[in-house]
Amino acid sequence: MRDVEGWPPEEVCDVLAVSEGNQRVLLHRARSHVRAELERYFADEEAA
Amino acid sequence: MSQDLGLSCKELVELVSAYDEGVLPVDERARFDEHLTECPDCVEYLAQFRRTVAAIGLGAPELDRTPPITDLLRVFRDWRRGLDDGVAGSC
Repeated sequence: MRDVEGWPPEEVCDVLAVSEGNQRVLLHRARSHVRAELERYFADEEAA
Repeated sequence: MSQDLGLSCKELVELVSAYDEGVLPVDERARFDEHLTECPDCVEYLAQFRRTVAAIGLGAPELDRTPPITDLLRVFRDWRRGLDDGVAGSC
């Protein structure tokens, strides 16, 4: 929602009914997950 | 040796989003910056993280928007309800 849809943090908190801190934790986990997947993707590509 | 108040790499990695959102307390931000000056790996991690966030935004127009966001929100709410039930009374 934040990075793909470009929603502001307040709106995400509102719609998901989470605190600002919780919103940031969820966002951070999602971003970390994508970064790790990209790392794996590029590592595989390099190995191929 | 006195206890170094510096950040570990593990801690830094957890704080990257808060750092970039500008919500870290001043002292923690200073420890973050200090760690960066002495850790090339974390500098690279931060750069990768920022490229990742930028790429997520750039990829958006081509993303398949199904299922619609309302469905995703319902899944999120159900998932949270499950968590709440699961930990009820445990803390």
